Amino acid sequence: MDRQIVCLAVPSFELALARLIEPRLRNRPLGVAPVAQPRTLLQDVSAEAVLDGLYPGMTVQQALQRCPALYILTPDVVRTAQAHAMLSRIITRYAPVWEPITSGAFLLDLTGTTRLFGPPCDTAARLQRDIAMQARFDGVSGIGSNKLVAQTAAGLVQPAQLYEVRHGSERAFMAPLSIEILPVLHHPRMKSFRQCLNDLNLRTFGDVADTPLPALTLAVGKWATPLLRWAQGIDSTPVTPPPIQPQLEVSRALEPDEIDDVAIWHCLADLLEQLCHMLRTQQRVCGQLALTILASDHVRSAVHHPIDPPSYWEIDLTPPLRALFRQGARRRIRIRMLTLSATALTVPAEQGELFDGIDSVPNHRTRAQQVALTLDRLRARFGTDIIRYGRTH
Amino acid sequence: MPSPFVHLHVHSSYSPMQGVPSLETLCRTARAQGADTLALTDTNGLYGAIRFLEVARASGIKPILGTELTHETHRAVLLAKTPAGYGNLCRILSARHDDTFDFIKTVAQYRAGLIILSDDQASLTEWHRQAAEDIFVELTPGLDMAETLAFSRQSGLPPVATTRAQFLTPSDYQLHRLLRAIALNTTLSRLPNDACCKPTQWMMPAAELARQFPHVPEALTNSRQIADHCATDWDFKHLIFPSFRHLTPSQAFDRLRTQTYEGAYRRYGTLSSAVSARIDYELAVIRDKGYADYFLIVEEIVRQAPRTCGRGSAAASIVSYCLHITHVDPIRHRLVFERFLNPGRHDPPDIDIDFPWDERDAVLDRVFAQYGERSAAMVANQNTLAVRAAIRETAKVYGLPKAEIGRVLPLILRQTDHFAAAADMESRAWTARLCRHAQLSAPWPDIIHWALQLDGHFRNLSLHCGGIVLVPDEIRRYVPVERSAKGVPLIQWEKDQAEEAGLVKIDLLGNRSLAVIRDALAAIARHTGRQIDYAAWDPLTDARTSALIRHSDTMGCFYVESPATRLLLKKLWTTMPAAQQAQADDFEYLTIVSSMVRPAAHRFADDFIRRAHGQPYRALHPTLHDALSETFGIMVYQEDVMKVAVALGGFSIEDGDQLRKILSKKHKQRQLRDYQRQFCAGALARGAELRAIEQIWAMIMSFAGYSFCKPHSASYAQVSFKSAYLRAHYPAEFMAAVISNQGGFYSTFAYVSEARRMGLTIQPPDLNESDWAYQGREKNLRVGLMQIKGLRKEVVDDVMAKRAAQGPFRSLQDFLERVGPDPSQVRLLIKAGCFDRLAGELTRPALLWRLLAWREHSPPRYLPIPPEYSLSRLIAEEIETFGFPLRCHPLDLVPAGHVPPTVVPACDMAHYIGHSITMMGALITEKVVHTKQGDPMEFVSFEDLSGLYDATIFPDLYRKTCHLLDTNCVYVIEGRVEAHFAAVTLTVTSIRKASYRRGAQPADLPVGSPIG
Repeated sequence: MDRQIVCLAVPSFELALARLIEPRLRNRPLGVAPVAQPRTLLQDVSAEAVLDGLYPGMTVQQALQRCPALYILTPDVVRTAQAHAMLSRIITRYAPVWEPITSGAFLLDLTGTTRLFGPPCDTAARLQRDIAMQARFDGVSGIGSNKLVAQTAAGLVQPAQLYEVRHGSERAFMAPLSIEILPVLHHPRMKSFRQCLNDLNLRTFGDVADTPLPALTLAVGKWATPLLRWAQGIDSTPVTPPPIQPQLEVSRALEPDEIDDVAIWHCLADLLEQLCHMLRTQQRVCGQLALTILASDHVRSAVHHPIDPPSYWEIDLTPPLRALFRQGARRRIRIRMLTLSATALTVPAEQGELFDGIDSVPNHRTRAQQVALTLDRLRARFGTDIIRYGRTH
Repeated sequence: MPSPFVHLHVHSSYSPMQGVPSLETLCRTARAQGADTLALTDTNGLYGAIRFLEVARASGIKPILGTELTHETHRAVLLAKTPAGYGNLCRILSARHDDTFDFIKTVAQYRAGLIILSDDQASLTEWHRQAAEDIFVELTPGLDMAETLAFSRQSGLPPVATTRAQFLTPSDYQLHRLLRAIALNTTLSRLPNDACCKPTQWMMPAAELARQFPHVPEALTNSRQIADHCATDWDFKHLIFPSFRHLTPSQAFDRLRTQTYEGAYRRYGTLSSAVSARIDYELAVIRDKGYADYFLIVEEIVRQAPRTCGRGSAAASIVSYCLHITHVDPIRHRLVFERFLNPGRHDPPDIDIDFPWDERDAVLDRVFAQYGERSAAMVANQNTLAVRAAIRETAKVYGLPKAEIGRVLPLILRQTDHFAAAADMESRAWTARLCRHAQLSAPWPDIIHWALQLDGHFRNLSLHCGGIVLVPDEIRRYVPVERSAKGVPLIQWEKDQAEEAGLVKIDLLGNRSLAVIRDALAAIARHTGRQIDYAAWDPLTDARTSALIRHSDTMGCFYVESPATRLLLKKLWTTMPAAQQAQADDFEYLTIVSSMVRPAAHRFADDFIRRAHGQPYRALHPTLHDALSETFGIMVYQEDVMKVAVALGGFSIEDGDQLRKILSKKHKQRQLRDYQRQFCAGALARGAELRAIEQIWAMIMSFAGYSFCKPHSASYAQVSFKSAYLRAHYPAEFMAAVISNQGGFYSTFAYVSEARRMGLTIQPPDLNESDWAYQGREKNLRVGLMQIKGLRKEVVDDVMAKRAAQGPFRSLQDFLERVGPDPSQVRLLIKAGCFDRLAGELTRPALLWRLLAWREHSPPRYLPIPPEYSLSRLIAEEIETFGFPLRCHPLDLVPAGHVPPTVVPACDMAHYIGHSITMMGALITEKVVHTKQGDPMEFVSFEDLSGLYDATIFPDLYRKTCHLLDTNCVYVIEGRVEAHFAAVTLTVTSIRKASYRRGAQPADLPVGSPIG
């Protein structure tokens, strides 16, 4: 049976979402930046901003100089996740299997649904209409026999439009398109391959498709076969729902950016207490601790450390966190944001005391656990800010 | 009554990245504390020793020379008790910078004449065992005093109190920590404790320190005793220079005399009485000053290279000329010997020799081979934290990203010039105002505040570009010697301190234009068979050369190619009346112009031109008529200061020369005041009016800026003339040599464009035709393989060797089989078009397929032949490979829709004087200057398809548009055409980048159109 894959996406999802919530933002130039500070880089810009010469990657300050009317949006992770979930609920009605690509973008496998919902082209149109009516987003759709073709087709149309590539015409569809649209070619490790293809004047999928496999193998080695298949519009990868990996995460943005290790460590210790409190509340222990550091220059470093045995106590997680901090904060650049996450979560399996009162004098670890529980109670009663890490001089 | 305590352990900013105070503030503070003696003990060096002697004496303080020697876990303060002890101090410090340094052994070996203070018990015990004399146990508040005192009492070694001061007041501790963080590439919070000194190590006054030593009062009094035993009357006036081949002074002089006369006969043929008299006079001065060895040694070095340019004041000496050290006839060009040497001059002569840049290292190697590292070392540059570096480094310590530092730095630097002017404001207040003005938030105010206080801090040594010092015996007894990164011995002093310490510096410098002339002469000999003898070659009377200079077509010519010089030449010659032109001596004028473009004299350029054109003038005082007759009453050369001081101020020649010399020094205010009084008194006695005296003194003061002496200008003018001759007669060979030697005033692209305007055809690189360097022949200029970015020279050498041995390459396959190179290098050659003529029906992508298949064991039977790259792609490849488009001009890449409707080409600019016009051009070179108010503005040179033109962007517009300016970018410029002495320039009123796209295809260039 021929596969029927639909790529459904809301272009510039963050911007569309913001405009949905705040109609006054319609028709004015918008940019998305993690924080609205002068040095921050724009992640996305609206069509109106593009007309004013703005582009993703320029600093907010530069953008504002060029376009004083620019409105800077900061991503609202929760709001975006909610909107994404809402879209996923709409598509779940039609697609037995779907795969999220990014926020607001999905790949749907509609194979075998024709008798139920009609041709995929109609289903996609219906989905677009449902999304427009229920969520008030203008989406785009690409329909094809595989993920590559569907995704490529979706990238060629404007909001509220749909592009269907008929079975058997994949090669002709792909032929005039630039191979630069392949995301894999933009990976840093693929730089030399990309350069080689460029040197050999293989600019379009048609150029690649016309090249014999042995010759292409000379140029890009093991990538020749997949590249040739893609150029012919062949992609057999399945639509796979993402694995669900439970994790707990706490973040803090430092305002202003901080370089003082002592101050940063206090912030991390605060985060660790929050995380441990969440773990204890949910009765889960963490088997791996991960620290993500976002520096002032937007360079992100992520390090992780196994916790063995898994634990939810600060006294057990503090030494690994110190090691993570040493490992992750090696650069001499101010830190903007810290994110601490606990993964590999399991249910705690602590063994109780066999006999009461044998070890009546609490040891250091026990005392630390008691302090943590007391702090939990204090915070539960008086609020999270009742006790904070401070600094003595 | 002298204070009972003397600071014996004090660091200045010459303790690299440790000590905070400058020598001036250090001595001022010491004096304010009532000190009469002070020891400077910078870490592991005497980097500021000579400067310290000067500053301390000026502050009324007796200077003690010393160091804090540290190595691994050991440390000790060494103070020079005697001159012999100073020699040993230098030896120990030199050894400290060797790889195999043994702290205890070396100090033990050279401790004679030194006083040692230390709390390093292991070292003290060893040295005590050797002899107890001149060893003290150092007690410092806050540094294990009890334990150290116990050791002193137990060992019987007397204690002495020190502060180990790294800064002057406790509040300066932050600066010390900042310096350490910069040195260790870390942040303040990550700075290890042992990387910094203690907060107590500030320069406590004696009374404060006495409170720390109630139990050991002798520790304080011992410091006075030590100070009284140390030498403070240092005399570094004696010249230190080796004898030539161990000859006695009279033998050396006889030899010099003989060689001079032999050279004179070669230079002049027969000797006129003027020549003989000048030689005898100079020889007499040289003999009296004992400089015969110096001349002989320099002559021996110069003899090693066939093409040199002896420059600087030495070119005023006929002895130098006869010895072929210099090449300008001082009699013919009326050069004053006293500028070089005079009986009253105490400092050593200074001869600077230029060698072709690529021969200079070999010359230095030969000098080191002859004199050995024992007696020779290079002069150092003492690199300091200038404002820019200080702000950058401090910002890094504060954790700011590079991009932000790079963005903010120019904003701050434009303002820091005003910091000195705002001396009445406290640094914090000034910084706050600056940050408000520039909209800079925290932590920038802190960064700027601290960084301004680090300005001028000594950071490290680097190699001077060519200064070498030679001594008769062991150089390590005169000055500590380190090793540069390349392993060259390097003294710890820069040229001024070296000279003040009696060391004689010989500058052996690299000069690209000498290499240009050498390469052009070689090409001419190859192509035409004409051999031009560099030494005998005299282009001064060549008509075409003179015409070229008078038309200011001097791009590529040594020293006269900058826009400022070309404009000056144009103003001078274009509107000069015919009568003046007929009499004018081109060489004399070029000599003046070379000097006049320097800052000292440039403001008088217009007056000079008017007078050169025949406008009558009246000198500010009649005595100046004769003194400055050559330059129409305008002070142009450094020696004009001397001439005016002698003629009007009544100075002796020696005093006049001394005034000239002091002008170029940094710390001169005190001496200048004395000279000004002397000059005023002398001028008033000669009937000069007060106003005229003030004007003349202001002209003298302008020579505090960068200026030339006439011999130097004349030496340069001669090389300029030789370059101009080659450009006039052999343009292809000349431009090829200019581009190949690189480092000219302009970019390669600008020279290639100029070559095109000169009528040369630019040919692309070709595997069978190109060499590494550019080649010029007749009307063709072939791009050299050196222009291909990433191509390695050894690969090209191999290719050329195979081509020379086995003939031209016939195909890519033939090339691959014969050379067998790295495929990445072949790829570069293919993309640069080097194989185009060998490829036949194969396109460049097809060649690249065949290159990929070359090393395969079983290559595919069929390899594709893709179509050739598009024209826009070919141009993009050229920009990527060569750095500029070769087959078209960047202006061709501007889409037709973006070209303004009425663009005036550069060649028609002169027709629009007084009108506002629109032009287009690629930015070729730019120079930022500051107005009297300190506002930045810029002189810019642009180029379009018809020629070069110069433009001025005044401060208001510059402030708004400076971020747009970048070399080789294309601009649309609107402005008003102005003429000044026939030099036409554009005063810019608006400027914007033209929409120039890298992948753009020139509209009027069909694919495959010929290049050039």
